[in-house]
Amino acid sequence: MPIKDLPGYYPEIKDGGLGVLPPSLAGLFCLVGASEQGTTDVKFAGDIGDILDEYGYGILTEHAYDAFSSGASQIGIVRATASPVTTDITVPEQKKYGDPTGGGAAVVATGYVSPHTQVGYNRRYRIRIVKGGSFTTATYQVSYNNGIAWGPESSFPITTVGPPRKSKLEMENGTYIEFTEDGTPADSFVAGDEYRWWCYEPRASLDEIIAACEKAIAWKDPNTGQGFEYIYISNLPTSIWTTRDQTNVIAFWTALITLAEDLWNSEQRPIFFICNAPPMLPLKDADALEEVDDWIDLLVTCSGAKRSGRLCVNAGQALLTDARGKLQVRSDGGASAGLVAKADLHHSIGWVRYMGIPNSVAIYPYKPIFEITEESIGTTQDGFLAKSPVVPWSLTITDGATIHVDGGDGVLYDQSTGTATGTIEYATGHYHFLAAPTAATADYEYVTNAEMGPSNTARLNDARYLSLRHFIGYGIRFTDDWMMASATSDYFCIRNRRIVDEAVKQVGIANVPYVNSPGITEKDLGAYKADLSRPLEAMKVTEDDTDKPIMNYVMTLTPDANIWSNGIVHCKVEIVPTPTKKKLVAVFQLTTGVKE
Amino acid sequence: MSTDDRFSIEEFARRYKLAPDQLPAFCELFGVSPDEVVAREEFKEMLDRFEASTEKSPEPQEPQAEAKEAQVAEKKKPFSRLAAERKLTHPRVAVLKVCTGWEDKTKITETELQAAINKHLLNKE
Repeated sequence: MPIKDLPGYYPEIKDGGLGVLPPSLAGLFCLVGASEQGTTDVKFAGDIGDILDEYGYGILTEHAYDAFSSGASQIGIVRATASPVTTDITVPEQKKYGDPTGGGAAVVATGYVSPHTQVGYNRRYRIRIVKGGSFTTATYQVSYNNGIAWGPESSFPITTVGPPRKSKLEMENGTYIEFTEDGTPADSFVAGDEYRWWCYEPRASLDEIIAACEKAIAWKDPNTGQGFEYIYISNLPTSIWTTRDQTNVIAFWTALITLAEDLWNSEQRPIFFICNAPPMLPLKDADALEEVDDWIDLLVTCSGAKRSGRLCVNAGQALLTDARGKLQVRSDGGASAGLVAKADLHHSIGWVRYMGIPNSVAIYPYKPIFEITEESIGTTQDGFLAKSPVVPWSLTITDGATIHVDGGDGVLYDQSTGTATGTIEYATGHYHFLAAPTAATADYEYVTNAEMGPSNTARLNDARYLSLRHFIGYGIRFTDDWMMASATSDYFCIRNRRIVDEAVKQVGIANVPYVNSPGITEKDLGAYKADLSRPLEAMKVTEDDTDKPIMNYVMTLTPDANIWSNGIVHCKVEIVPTPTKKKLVAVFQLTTGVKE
Repeated sequence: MSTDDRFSIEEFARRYKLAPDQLPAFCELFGVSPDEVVAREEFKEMLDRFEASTEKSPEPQEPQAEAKEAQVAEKKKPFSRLAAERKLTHPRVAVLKVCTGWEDKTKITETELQAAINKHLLNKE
């Protein structure tokens, strides 16, 4: 039977051939993300290639990839319009090794290949020179993740014959770095030099994200009148990037919770949201977080201030492969959305044996790197930096017109002359100047002493965030399937939320034939109730099959006092879900369309 | 306080013998409508302030009239009413409440509302 004749029915390949499933939308979710290109209408995709073609290479695409990797088969997507940040790409900073006047003279610049491909995202790039010399002799490696992982050693391609010769390296997301060869070609590169720069992701305001969510909510399956089961928001609003504080985080959550509650109150349509917590890693904007504890304190405070059984917040971050096979650190909410889509209603996404995250390599950051800017050293000739261990090649000390840089070898150099001016011991932060500075300040990176270990993960878990754990022999899994519900709420886990939502939806679908019915007499009420109960009966465990979402249920139908004018029947469904075996109650209205 | 002590501005104005032609100026000064219900104490406080302001300026002059016009332009209204006039959806209203601490009854000007929208929803600050 041609599938086009059955819109809303989802085919499934079974042993015997093509099977057609009942029109349940469980597992169908919408991804709302920011991108500078692509349609803003609801688009369905079952393949990452389609998404890449439509929206380009950015956070939206990456999180869709995570979802597909973890088991999603079809995703609805709504793009939130976004614009680049004022400084969307930084000028590369050259970290010179040893004597900086002895080479590394190639002129370097970054930019975009095309204004239509400005979909690059928040990445920290590094290029490390392996062999020095001219364009023809030098080799390099690229890191797409601030030095966590490095690509293979490559030769510089000549992209402009010149003179001068140029070599443009495209970063596969619309951005590039371009080198111009020095007048003395052999002086162009020095082995050990690094070039570092940032590429920002386009950002959507909270208003743009709300607008996209409203569009996602408005979508309904034409047959059943039901919409997406849940919505996953891949990007954070601009406000959180600008100021990562409790007010902005709570404002973001409040918007999502209000959208879900309004939909339930106005249309009796259940939905829930999954979003990401602001990440621990520095956001490169105004940012006061300096330690793991600061980050966890912020999240715990937010969790205490705002709770809802219609919101799930992921705080897990991991080193993940991306659509092009490269490694990147990012929030893993996309995987949680994909696992929910794959899981049966009553199955936890934290089940160790079944809920693998195939594209995860490591939980990250375990001992993250933080930045310190303008730490005052004053006139101290011999002392210790406030934080350690210091990341080699990250230290820059400004002392009036003199700039001291560390060469990665424990020696401080005057950047303009290449003369050794002091030493730095990376492990302790102990520095020593050959001559006392006058009014020095230090910028550097350090590895935090606070580990993102089991105790910190437990704090996040207690605060009802999704978090990641590494199970030896299995790999990386979500710790549990928490909703951001209050401590006493029955909707503390995604499973309970899904089971009740699905029950409400299925009863609503079973009611569809009655919407245009001529009327239900008191005599018909028994048959009406039997019809509405049918999907609940199908969800109930039987002797033959105990792997079902509900243990038992009770449905109570109460015709409204004015049923003959408004056609409303009040429906109360009491469910005992299989996972928690605690009675849950949903009360909602059904319209029979009986009107005089 | 009993509910008997709450009446509309118009009713209080009649009871406290505020001249009918002064009622529009009274309402403009406090950004209220004549049918808005207030407590007696609240009204008395407003009346005192209104009388003090009229005593200071018994003879309205041209510059003061301009100032009054500006005041009218910046009339304060309850947040819920301004939000409804601007057709702000419920999630957007909820966000503004979180970010500004406003409640439905908080009286604000349109400029204040626009500034809050720019800052918290549009990030155009």
